[in-house]
Amino acid sequence: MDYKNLVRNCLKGNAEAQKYLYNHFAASMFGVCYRYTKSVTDAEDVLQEGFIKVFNNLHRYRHEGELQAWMRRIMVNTALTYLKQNKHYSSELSYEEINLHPVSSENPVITLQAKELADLIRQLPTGCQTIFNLHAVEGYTHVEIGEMLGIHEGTSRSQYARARSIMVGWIEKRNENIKQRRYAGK
Amino acid sequence: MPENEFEKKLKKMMDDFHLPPSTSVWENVSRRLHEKRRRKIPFFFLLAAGLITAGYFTYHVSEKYKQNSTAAISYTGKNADKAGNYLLKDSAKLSTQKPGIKKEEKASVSNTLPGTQQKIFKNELNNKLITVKNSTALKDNSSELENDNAGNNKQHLNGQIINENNNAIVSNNETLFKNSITIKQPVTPADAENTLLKDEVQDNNLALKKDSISGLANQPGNSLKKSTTKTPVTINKTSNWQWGVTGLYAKSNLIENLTNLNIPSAQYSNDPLTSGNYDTAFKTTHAFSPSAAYAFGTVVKKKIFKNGYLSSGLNFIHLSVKADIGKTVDSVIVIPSPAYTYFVRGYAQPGFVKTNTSKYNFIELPVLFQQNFFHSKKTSLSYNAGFSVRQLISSSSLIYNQINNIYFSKEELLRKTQFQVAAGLSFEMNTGKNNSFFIGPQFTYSLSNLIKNPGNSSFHFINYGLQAGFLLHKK
Repeated sequence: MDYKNLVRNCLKGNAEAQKYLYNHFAASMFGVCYRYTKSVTDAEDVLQEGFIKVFNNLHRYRHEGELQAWMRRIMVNTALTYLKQNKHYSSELSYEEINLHPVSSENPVITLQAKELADLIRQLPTGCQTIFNLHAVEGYTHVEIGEMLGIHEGTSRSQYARARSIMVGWIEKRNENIKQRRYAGK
Repeated sequence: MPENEFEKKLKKMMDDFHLPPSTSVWENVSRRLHEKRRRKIPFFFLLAAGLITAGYFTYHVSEKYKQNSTAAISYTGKNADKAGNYLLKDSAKLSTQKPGIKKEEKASVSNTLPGTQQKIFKNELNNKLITVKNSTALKDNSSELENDNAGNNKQHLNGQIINENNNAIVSNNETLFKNSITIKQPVTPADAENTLLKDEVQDNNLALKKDSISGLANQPGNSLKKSTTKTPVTINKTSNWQWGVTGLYAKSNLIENLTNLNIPSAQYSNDPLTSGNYDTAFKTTHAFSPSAAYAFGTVVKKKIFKNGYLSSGLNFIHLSVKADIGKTVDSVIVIPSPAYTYFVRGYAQPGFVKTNTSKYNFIELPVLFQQNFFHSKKTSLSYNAGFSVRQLISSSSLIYNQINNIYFSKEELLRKTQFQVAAGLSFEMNTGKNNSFFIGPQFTYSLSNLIKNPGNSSFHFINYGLQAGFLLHKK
C-alpha cells in the first residue's frame, strides 16, 4: 500500500484520507491500547488520544520505518501517559522492587485465543501489566523500560519476572482445566 | 527481548491481535481534528482583523487630520500678494525688525518670552496677528506679556488708530496651541514685509490648525479670512503617541449572560458527609463565586482627533472563580449532549468540603476608543469602550454541569479564543512634562461562551476592577 500518498493527503487535511488511515489501523492499534488498560472505555480513550497525536504529528513521520510501527509507538506512549494521569491507575501503579527470582523457565503451550491472552494480561496488577507489555510484547529492554518509566532497571526485571510467573501459572492452570474437561468428556 | 518460546509465541499472538473499536472513537477523533483547525482560525483572524481595523482607522484619521492642518491663510487686501503668511521664530527678531516697537518693549517681550515662536497673519485690513508660541512657560508669562503689550496697542494704519487690547491674546486649540498666545499687533504692510521671515516658517515647524485659525477669525475685531485664492502653508503635523504599562486588579466571575445576570445555580447538601445526596435537605447557590483577577501589559495610544484616542496593547490576564465542592467521587459518569456524549472520570458535587479555585490565564489584545470629556491643565477624565480578543494559554478549572449537578475537569471543553466587550473610565494626571498616570474602573464582559459543549450551562466571564497605568507621551 502506498502510505506516502495517504500520509500526504492526510497532511493536506483531506478528511477521506484521514478516515481511511484510521480505518486501516484502528483495529490493530486498539489491540495495543486494550492490553495496557483495564476497560474498553479506557482503551478507546487512549486510542482517541493516540490518533489525535498521530494526525497532529504526521509531518514528523519520515517514511523511514513502517508507519504501523511508528503509530504503535505513539499508542504505547499515549497509554503510559494515560496511566500516569488517571487517578484510578496512578494509585495502582507501583514499581517497587521485589525479591528478584529467576524468570520461570517454563514455556507453557499457549492454547488461548489472542483475545483471551490479552484479557489475561489485563488482569495483571497495573505496574506488572505495563512492564510485561513493554518487554514481552513491545520488545523493549529493561534498560529502556527503566528510562521510560523512570525506574531502576532491576525493578523492571523483578516486576517482569513476577508478571511472567503469574501469567505462566494462569496459562498452566487453564491448560490443566482444559485437559480435565477433555478427560471428563471422554 | 523475548528469551524463549513463550515470549516469542506471546509476542506473535499479540502483534496479530486486532480488536475493532466502537464507531464513536472515529467520530470524536474527526470532530477534534476539525475543531482544532477551526479554533486556530478565529483567534488569528480576529487578531489580524483587529490590527488591520486599528491600522486603517489610525491611518485614515491621521491623513484626514493632516489635511485639516494644512492651513491656507491669506488676506484679501491690496497687498495680499506681497504679504503672504509668515512665521517669526522669536520675539527678539520680531522686535528688532519692528520699528514701531520701542526698545523697552522689545526687551520686555524678549525677556518675558524667551525662545518663543511667533506667528503672524494678515487680515484684509492689513492687520497682522502675531502668534507667539511658547512651548514651555507661556502660561506663567501670559499676564506679564499682556502688560508688556498693553503700551504697544496704538499704532497707525491707513490713518486709523487701531486700539488693540489684551483680548487679542488668544489661546486657541487646547491640544496643539495649549500654551500659545496670540498677540494682535497693528503694523503697516511695509513693516510686515520687513519683519516676516518666510524662511523661518519651515524652520519653526509650527503646527497650525484649522480650528485655531477659525478661532482667530471669530475674535471680535479680527476679520481674518480664509482666502479663496489660497496660499497654503503646509505644516508638518506630528501625531501624539502615548505608550506605557498598565495593570488591573479586579474580580472575575462566570455568569449565564449579561442580560439577566443569572449565575447558574448549584444544589448542595448541608451535610458534608452526604454531600450531593438528594435525600438530604439541599440549598441552591451560585455555581461560581467571584474571585481575584489581575492583568498587566503594555498599552499604546494614538491620538486620532481632538480629545479622541485609539488604544491597543498586549496583556497577560489571569482570571479565577471559586466553587464550593463536596466530596470527590472517583467514578465515571456519562454526560450526554447534543454535540457529543462524553465520559467524565472523577467529579465532585456541590458541597462544603472545600473551595476550589478555577484559574485561567489568557493573552489579551484590546482595541479601545477613548475620549476625554473633561480636560484641565493637568488632569483629564475620559471614558473608553471597545473590544478585546483573548487566547487561553493555560487553565486549571472545574466545569459545572447543571443537569447532573456536578463539577468536573475537562480542559478540552474550554473555548480557547474569547471575544470581549470592554468599557471604563479613566482619570489621567500629568506627572511630568512628558508622562502621565491614569487610574479608573474597568469592566469587561466576554461574549464567548467559556464552554464549547452546549450540553453544559452557558458561562461568560465578567470582570470588574481598577485599572492603572503609566504613560509616556511623544508628539
